[in-house]
Amino acid sequence: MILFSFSKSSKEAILSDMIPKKWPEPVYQFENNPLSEEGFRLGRDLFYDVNLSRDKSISCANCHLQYTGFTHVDHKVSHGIEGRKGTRNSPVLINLIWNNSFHWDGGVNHIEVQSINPIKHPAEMDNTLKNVLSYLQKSSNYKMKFSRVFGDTIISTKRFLQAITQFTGSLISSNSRYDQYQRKEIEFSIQEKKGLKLFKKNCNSCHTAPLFNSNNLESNGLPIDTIFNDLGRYTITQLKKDSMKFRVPTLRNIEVTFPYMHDGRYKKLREVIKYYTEELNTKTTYLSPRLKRKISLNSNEQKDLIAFLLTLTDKEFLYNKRFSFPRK
Amino acid sequence: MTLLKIQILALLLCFGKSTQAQPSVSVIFDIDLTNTSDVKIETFRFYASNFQIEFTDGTREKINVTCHLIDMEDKESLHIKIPTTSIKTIRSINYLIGTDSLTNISGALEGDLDPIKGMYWAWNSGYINFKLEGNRIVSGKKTPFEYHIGGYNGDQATSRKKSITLIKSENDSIHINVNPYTFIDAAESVNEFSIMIPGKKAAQLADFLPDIFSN
Repeated sequence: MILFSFSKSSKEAILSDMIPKKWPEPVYQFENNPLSEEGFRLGRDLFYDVNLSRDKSISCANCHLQYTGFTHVDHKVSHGIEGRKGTRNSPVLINLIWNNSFHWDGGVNHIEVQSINPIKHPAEMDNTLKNVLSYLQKSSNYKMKFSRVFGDTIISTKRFLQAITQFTGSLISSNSRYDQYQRKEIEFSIQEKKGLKLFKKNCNSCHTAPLFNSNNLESNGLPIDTIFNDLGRYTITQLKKDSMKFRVPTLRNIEVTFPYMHDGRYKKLREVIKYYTEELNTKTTYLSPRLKRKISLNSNEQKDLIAFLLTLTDKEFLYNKRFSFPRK
Repeated sequence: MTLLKIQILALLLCFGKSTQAQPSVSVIFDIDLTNTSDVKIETFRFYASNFQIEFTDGTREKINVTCHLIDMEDKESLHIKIPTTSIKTIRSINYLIGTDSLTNISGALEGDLDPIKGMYWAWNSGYINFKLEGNRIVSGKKTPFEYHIGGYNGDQATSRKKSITLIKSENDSIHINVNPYTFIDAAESVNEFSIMIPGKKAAQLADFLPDIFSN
């Protein structure tokens, strides 16, 4: 019992160390999945293990690379085993414990069950939970690691999913130049300050600081891609009003997470800004009410805005060895 | 130190409790599987949860939220035990066909709710409350049917309440007859042979679920 109370308080210490000051309370607080260093490491091992895919060729990290904010840079849509392609741009894994739904359509309702999707999806890892568990159960290395985290060698779906969550839930990016500026550790350039002002006026209502996202599902008016025919949230609710609605992604580390949008249709930030300022049809049905008012930015202002967006890059996060492939 | 004392006390209470044999009521699902030449059932699995026992004196046990997976291929799963606090004559039993909404938003779960059981949708998180697959002869042609009834949110909710009043008074066991053919006929009457996603249709079909259970 004494040991138990100690481990509990150290768990709380780990979590509170992770949460940046003045940020909102995370949605997921590892309530039934006590965060531990061993659990985090086990989750990291699983995240980087290619044996989770059916043909043992790809790991989670194939579509979620650390250096690019845990997304697949330069790939419009996710690539699975045998060169199979999905229909959506692989999302970044940043500050996930503040999300109340996952995937572009918000179809996943809890961080712990998220990883079942890429494991089972035919265009991703195309595996079964049974296969994955039997692989893990046969491994003496994993048996040892699971017992360090959970107290015995039983490897169950729940433990497997919770271990991955210990890793993905710990991917917190909060030390960008923007954060340092907020903490008054550095100064912004005049251009960055102008960009911040423009951001607050035009973008922050959806991409809300400090997380630079929102948990809403919104239509940003993009016309449907006729190859993918992806109606977004509609596929979950089958409600007309949810057509073309997608989660509002975080802009943290946006500099390195291209291409942009749910289907990766834009390669450059300036194309995204051009879309919002020039191409967006404000009469689009079910358009987010926050986009009804036209955003107008002259070319200098567009440059200022981009200068600000680049301050959201968090090099410490992108190159933190703790999140990297665990080299022995 | 106070915390430690409370923990020791809690531990003692736990031990104290576990030494007593907990009375329970057996609920036995008798599934009618007399495959006719017209209908062949290949898979039949469903969840039953939130059992509540009501006694002839009008008192009720607290609702037991545990979700049980009943599978025609797993004989042991047809027999479940609901803990009770007293041994009295039972008048009726209430339960939920399917899982409750809280279960569907609770992350990774184990036992009968382990996603490995094939009763979980990953892309649109939530449990398949009721799964029935097979084929039947329609106008002389073998026609497959595949009903995956799930969905927990608002209008998409597919769990349904059921109450069964016992004909014969019992103290410790309840038999529930399950007739999947009732459901197959009802679904065919509205021309549905395949449902694989939550939505309006699944919710409509779920309304047929209570009718397959009787005593």
